[in-house]
Amino acid sequence: MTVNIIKCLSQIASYLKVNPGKITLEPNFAIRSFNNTVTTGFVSIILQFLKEASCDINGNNIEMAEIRQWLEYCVVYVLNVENVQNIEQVMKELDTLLSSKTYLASFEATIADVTLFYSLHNIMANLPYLDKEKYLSVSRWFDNIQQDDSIRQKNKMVTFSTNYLTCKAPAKH
Amino acid sequence: MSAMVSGTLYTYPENFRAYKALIAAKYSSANVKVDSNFVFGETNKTEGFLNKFPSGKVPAFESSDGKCLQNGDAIAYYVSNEQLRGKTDLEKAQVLQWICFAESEILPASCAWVFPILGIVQYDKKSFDRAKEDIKAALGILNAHLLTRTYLVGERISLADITVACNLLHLYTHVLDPEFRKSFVNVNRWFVTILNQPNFREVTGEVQLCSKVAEVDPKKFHQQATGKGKEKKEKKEEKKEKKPTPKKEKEPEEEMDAAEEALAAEPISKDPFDSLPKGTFNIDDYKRCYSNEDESKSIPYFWEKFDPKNYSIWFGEYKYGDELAKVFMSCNLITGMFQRLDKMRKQAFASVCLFGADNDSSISGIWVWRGQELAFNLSPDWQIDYESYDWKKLDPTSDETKKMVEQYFAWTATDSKGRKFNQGKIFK
Repeated sequence: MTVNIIKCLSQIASYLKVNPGKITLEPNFAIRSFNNTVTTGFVSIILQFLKEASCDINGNNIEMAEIRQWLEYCVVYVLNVENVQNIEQVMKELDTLLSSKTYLASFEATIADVTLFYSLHNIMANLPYLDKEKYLSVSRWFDNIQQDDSIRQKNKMVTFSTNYLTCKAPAKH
Repeated sequence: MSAMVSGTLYTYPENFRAYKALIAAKYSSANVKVDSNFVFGETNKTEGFLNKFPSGKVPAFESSDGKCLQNGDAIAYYVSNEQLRGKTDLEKAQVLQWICFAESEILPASCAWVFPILGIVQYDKKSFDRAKEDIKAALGILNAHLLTRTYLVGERISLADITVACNLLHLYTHVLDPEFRKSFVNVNRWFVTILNQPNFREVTGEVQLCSKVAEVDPKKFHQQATGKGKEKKEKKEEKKEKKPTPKKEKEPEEEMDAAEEALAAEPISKDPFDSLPKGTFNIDDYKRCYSNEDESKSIPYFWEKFDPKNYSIWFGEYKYGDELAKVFMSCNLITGMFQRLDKMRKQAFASVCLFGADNDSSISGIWVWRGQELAFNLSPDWQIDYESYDWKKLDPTSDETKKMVEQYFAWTATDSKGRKFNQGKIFK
């Protein structure tokens, strides 16, 4: 988990093309120092990245609040996931939500989707095919996000081949 | 890639077929302008038009180098870029497959369901009920496809999404109520996502999904068929003669043309604002908010929703304040002007205030309307009063404007000579 948070933050920095600075982890929070500025906490660090990338989250207040909520969700629930039950819980929640939404907080991918993608990549890459089928909406969302090379970066492309099989023979499913 | 396309599109307003081309053009940055002088039923009957576009149907497109195209899907394809058309041969074929699906599986049934409700064609129970079933089947196919996919073809928006969504517009706005939509979660998710893409919203404006299914009103068709001017009536009768008898298996093509012509003829609202792009600011929605909410809510809401590209804010001050006498007379002056501008209400909002007291007063207000120019020039009907006012366009980004809007909307302003607010009138 320790590694995950740092890795996730540096991937976000690289996606936004900003200098990640030095990121360390205290027991309860991440610290980032760059240019004599110290930022504490996962969400604050991401917001600081966005500021340095001059990348305004242009959306209304509700969207803004939802994005922050998703960033919190990533660090509290997804990156801290410790056992199989937890994974299942997270996947279930996400699947329900994503069945009626294309992206998390807006009608286009936002930093919330990007962050969840990095937070979830490890889990998705190790998910058995049957589970990918079980969480079809998460799979659909993940597959859409990973097709954007600028987001995926060097992460391995996760295959969803049985999904494709299902599509080709929907009647038998 | 070929050079960027530019040209003129001929269509009546709010034509979902023309939307396809206009939206595709947004994605490809093609320069497609709607001809604002086009009058449906007149322009497209002229010899000049028919020489270029033999069928006389719209949308029709003439590129700036003189190439002429008819049919919304063909025009949309022409003005698209590689991303929209599909990158590989397979993707191109898939896009074409969905365009055909939209035309053959969705549109005929959509017309058969929606047009009787709009009173455009006569209600016939059998074809009406069949249309509902056909739509259920088509949405079922889409729903299964979109279970594992974000967009119809590939992982980005393509012409397939634009075309199918446009052909679903009438259904989603008129007849697919929440209960009906419930079974098609994946289609709903996809449709709402597509509708809310900035390139879509710029063309269609904000789309309200159907909240309650509209019922067929048999009187409506009768009224619309007979209540028109003489000329229209004759035209209708002519058309009726041409129609095959209802017992025969109708040729869908011909049936739809008659209906479509009627559809086009109906909404000619002659709203002068129709010649301007719709933008994203929904003025009706704002008026509701202003009427129902406190200014502490409605003013921030205004700035949140205001679309500076397609709407403008103006300060109008009555030129002859010195001549104003009794307060009630000044108020009549304002309300009289509002009445004479009645047709402007659809796309305008204003708060006009009277300051001071009897024999020492002034009138000024903040106006918001569609377009960047003085709206009064759009219609001769609107030109009775406006010359008695000085008009100043305000910069929506300046703090000064923000302050003025707040003071006039909340009725807390004073005039330039410090006269206190006396009363205000809202144009809505």
